[in-house]
Amino acid sequence: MDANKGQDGGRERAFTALVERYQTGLRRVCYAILKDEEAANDAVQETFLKAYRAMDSLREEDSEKAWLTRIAVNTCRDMRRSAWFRRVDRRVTIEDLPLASDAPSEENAELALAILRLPRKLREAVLLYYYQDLTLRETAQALGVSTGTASKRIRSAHARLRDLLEGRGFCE
Amino acid sequence: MNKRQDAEKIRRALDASLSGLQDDPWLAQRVVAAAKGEKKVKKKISVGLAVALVLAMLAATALAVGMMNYFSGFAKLENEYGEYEQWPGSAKVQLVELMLECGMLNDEDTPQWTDDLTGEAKEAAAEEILGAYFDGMIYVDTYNAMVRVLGPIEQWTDEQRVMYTELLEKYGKLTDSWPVFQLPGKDDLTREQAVERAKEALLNVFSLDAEYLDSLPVDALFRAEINEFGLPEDEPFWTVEIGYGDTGHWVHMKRNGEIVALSVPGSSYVYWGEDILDRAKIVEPDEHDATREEAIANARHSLTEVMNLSSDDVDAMTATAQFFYHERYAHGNEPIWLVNWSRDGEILYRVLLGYDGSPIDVEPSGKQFDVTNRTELTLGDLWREQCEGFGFNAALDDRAGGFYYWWSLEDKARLYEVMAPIVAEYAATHPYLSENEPYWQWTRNVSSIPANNAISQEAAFSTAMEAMTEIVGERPDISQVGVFYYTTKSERPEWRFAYRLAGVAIDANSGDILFQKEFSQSYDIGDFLAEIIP
Repeated sequence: MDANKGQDGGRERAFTALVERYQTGLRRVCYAILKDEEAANDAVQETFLKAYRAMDSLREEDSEKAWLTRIAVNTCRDMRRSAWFRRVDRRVTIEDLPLASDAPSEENAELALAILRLPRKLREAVLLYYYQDLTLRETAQALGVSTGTASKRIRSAHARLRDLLEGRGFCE
Repeated sequence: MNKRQDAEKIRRALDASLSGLQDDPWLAQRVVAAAKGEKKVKKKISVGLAVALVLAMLAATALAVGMMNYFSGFAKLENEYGEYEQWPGSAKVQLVELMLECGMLNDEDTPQWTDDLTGEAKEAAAEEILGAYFDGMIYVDTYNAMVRVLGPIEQWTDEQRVMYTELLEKYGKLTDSWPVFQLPGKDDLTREQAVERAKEALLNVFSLDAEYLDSLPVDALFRAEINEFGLPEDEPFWTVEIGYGDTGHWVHMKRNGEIVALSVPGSSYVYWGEDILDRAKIVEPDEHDATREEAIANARHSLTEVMNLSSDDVDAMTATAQFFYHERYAHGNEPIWLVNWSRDGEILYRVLLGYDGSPIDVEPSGKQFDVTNRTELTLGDLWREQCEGFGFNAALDDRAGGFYYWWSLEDKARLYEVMAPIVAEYAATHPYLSENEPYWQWTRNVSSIPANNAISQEAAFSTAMEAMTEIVGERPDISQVGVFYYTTKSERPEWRFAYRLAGVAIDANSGDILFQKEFSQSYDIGDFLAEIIP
């Protein structure tokens, strides 16, 4: 019993550290996929619940971040399939963004909105490859596609965001 | 591309814009508690438990039979008494008794339903019980009674769909617009075979991933209906939907598995075996379109940037560009550029661009385009950006009174005030803006609040109702008639009234009819509102 308790305690500490380290980034990724704050919070909680159950399957050579991101993307996809989610208009405007204490600069808001308005497949690729800084292989694994397809999606997304990334806004 | 610099910009933008999302300090503790709370101990099934399971299965079967009896009984009552809203109290009493008998209601739902109830008291109790049961449903009929129990139709089993079709048929209510669901016969493809065939076809025609398709939910319908694919109306065919809504891939095939048409999210159908030029209407570029040279230069950029080809690879190919309208691309409203890249006479890549030369998609030869429209803000997007600041909800349907047509005159005037300048600016930069675009139609005339000296809405409405009754041959349902007040000609303001079959414009000074029109389809109402009367 005591040994189990000790094992459980170590596991919980490791898990708590995982939550503290990654919940902020994952919440933003989930929001950017689902475009709904409440749904994003649910998705993050569900992601960590799945992660807690499956912690033993995390291999040392796996990146924690890539593993969690993969679970989060799949969780978001499951949520998007649910009947209620399909019936809600998910187009995002600047007023829909979660209220921050400091308003983002125009340049940042413009780029963020452009990312949120990308088609879903391209948006997921940008979030994983650039925002979560996964490698191409990790991005492909998390999206469940070949590296060639992941690469094509990243390049397509980049082409659409190019002007903003190079500092030429839509208004210029 | 420099990943580090781009990633830095993207992280900065998203972190700054999404910093309002709050972390949950108790998340780890709650997840651990939830995970521990749901731990289950595996048990060997005891004889007692096995008996209980059999009883539960029997109860489920009984419930299924009860459910079917309820749907059938509802349809019978509807056939006898007409629309639910018009049912007499005695019919509602019968419905409650049926629902209790079939297990759709139980004693807890119906505390007021006592044995001593009779006459009007019983009818009042039935009204109250059914009011609570159907609470929130806009329209109650057999179909919605089934939806209330089974959920949306996409969640129904094949047998439940067939049952509904049979109920409609039995009571002579099967209309052309409703599919005739059937169960596949022994010579037809099974559901599993149809799904398998659909996935093969999608992978063959589009650049899709098998694993991705496998990860999506699947629905398959076997039914006969009026269709756009040239299939006989009375011959059932398979439609397989892989994914839903904005992830929905559709494949239609004959009952023997011969593929007819396919579509991927956000685009209309590709017919099996067709080439992009088969449905193209070739035109010459106009002054506001990208030139052939610009289109080829942009297409070249797509090949290097998206397909990762080197400049040498591209230089080794020859480009030919065609400019045409095609109903599958750019919503069919705008012409597009197609640039083919060939080597030794063989097309290797195809690049699709908008009329303005903006890239839409690039694919190796042999694959159909799966992105078919330019990415840009629509007037709907612009409305959604503006509306909340003006006290509106983003979804037009959410407004009190329902859709735009039934808004108050004040709300319509407000929408005009917000959108008219936006539409004018948009139209100036979008040469192919469709005249069917609702925001364009709703801002052609100036929506206003009636002046004091205008004839009253009641008087104008009365004239309009008479005129519409004469045009259509029956009196319109008052609740379906939309009211509009235009001051486009300030010296001669006008009332307009319209519903799905007809519209009438009335001079708000004299009360005379200025213009009237019978609609052949409900879309005509938009054209009627956009009409500027000289």
